[in-house]
Amino acid sequence: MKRAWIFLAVLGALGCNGLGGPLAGRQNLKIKPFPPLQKLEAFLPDKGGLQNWKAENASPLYKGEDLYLYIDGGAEIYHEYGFKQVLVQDYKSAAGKSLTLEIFEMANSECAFGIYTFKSSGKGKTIAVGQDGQLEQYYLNFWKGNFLVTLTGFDSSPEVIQGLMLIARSVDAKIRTQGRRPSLVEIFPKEWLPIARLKYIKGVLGLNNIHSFFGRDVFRFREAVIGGIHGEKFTIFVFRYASQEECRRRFQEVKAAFEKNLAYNNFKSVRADLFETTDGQGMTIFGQPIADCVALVLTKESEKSAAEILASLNNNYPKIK
Amino acid sequence: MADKIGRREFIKQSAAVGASAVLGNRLISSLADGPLSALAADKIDIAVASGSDYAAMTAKAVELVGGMEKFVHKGSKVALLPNVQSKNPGTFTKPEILRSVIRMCKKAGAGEINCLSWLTQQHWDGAGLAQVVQEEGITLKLIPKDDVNFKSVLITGGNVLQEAKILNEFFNHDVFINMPITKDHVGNKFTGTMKNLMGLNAPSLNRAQFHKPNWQTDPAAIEHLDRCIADLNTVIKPSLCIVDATEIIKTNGPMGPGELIKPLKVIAGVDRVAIDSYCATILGLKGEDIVHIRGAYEKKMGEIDLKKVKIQEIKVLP
Repeated sequence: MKRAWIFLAVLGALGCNGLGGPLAGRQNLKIKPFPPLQKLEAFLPDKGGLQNWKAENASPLYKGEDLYLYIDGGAEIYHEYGFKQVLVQDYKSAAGKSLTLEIFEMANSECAFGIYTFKSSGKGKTIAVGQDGQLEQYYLNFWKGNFLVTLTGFDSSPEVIQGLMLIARSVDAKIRTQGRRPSLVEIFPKEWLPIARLKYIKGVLGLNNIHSFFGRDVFRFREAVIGGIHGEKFTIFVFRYASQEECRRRFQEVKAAFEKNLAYNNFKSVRADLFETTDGQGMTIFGQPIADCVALVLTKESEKSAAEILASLNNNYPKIK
Repeated sequence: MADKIGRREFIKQSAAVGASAVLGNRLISSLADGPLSALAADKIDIAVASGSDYAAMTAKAVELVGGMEKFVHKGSKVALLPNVQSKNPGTFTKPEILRSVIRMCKKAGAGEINCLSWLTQQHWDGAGLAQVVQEEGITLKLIPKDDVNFKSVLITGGNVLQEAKILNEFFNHDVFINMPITKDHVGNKFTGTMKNLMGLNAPSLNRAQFHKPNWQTDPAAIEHLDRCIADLNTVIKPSLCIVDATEIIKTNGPMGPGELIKPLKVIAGVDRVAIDSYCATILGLKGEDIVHIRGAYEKKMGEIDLKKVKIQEIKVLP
């Protein structure tokens, strides 16, 4: 009974979803209040620093579900990464060029990093702006703290690229917080690939966008990191769970799903903690649990080289905090 | 000329829909009257024009599927639906393609040509299509999103959707030219002719029925969205589809910004399933990979197997 009261008090203080409820004013429980949304306008560049660029139109702000009004089609992926709000500001140059600045506030820095990796191709040019700034054909992305900043030009002329860089640096200077990359990323040895080529995934939509294994949610992971290494000869998926116990259970479910699904052939349970199978493209999939993670390696290379990859992941696991 | 239709005016117009729907019903399809039935066996199903002059490519692709006169008769009221969802490169139908289609419609003797949209003037300005509309002297009908501006259409052959709500204004036309850009979509991986029809359907329905509550992103919710798209397509039959595959995004769709690729193609035809199946290959996919293309094929709305589709590809020199 006492436990139930404590549970109710906690729920009340958090407003169930952490946004404030009827009992939210109680301060006697030492629960960290849900951080209020940031005033994103404060991150907009000062007029004086815009050189030949000028802010155009109003700067609309979209919060929560209203993201649909701005991103009509494709808003779901932002929600999967804990979208809070986005501020949009257009700019025009004296020569008539345009660009758009978007400042997204996400639930936390892991989410900001995640949506950054999702949106970046990893083929762009690394720039010293924000955290992991990447300049691509006609746009740039960086993350900082729990913010994702995207600047889009509408061509790749030198004037537009200079404008992107100018405004990006200005926003970067105004965001004072730094974010921490999710520790799971550390399971990939640094020499394998640049950080912008990793994908940090928070849900099944992100996963399916990169690789669709099954028509249903088999992995049920809490977080995942994905990367293609050695010239994309190996694609590595590491799914993480809340505990080793959950991981062991999920590993058995994943193993069974590969064994039963008709899209996969030649299933072989090599050991209790290792299986292999082949997909429709002739790619061999090796699966193994690593502490609280399930790792998959997809490759057309030899079993031995896949085993080396899995061993490297195993060796790197202690770096995950 | 942008023609923003007010709520009051639209209520008046809605009363007139009953009469005009006699014409509009030609655009409402029944499964028995599938797109393939309209094509003789020896005709080209899909025309693909490639090159760098987008207007000339559009004209050539339409010519190869029979010419605009085949679809637009003298005095016809033509509705155009280009994609203006975003102004980011590779996400909207190119202005040159719209201009070419308008000119072909005029030449064929169209009595009236309207672009229909429940998006905003800002969307049309951003994509550069408002300027084309103005310069070509046709009308952009920007229709407020209120449900009163949409007509309920029952879906009898649907799997998950029982009702569509189509722009009232759509029923005032007797020719519908669907003009999407093909591109990536973060949810169902592909945008093409069939997905574009969500631009005629009430946004309230798109949001509440097509997308699961709380923005669920599990595979079942995404498949539900795809099934809704296939169902919607059972009740709207474009007279002609013209697809922009010139410069398109292959990541971060449908809004971008994303990785821009340049297939430099314009595709024309009537069979939506075949066209989308072809366009899927441009994005490195197969028609069978996309649930709504597969769903439409299962409903016998068109051919998914490109080996069975007569495709003519032509290079248009500048």
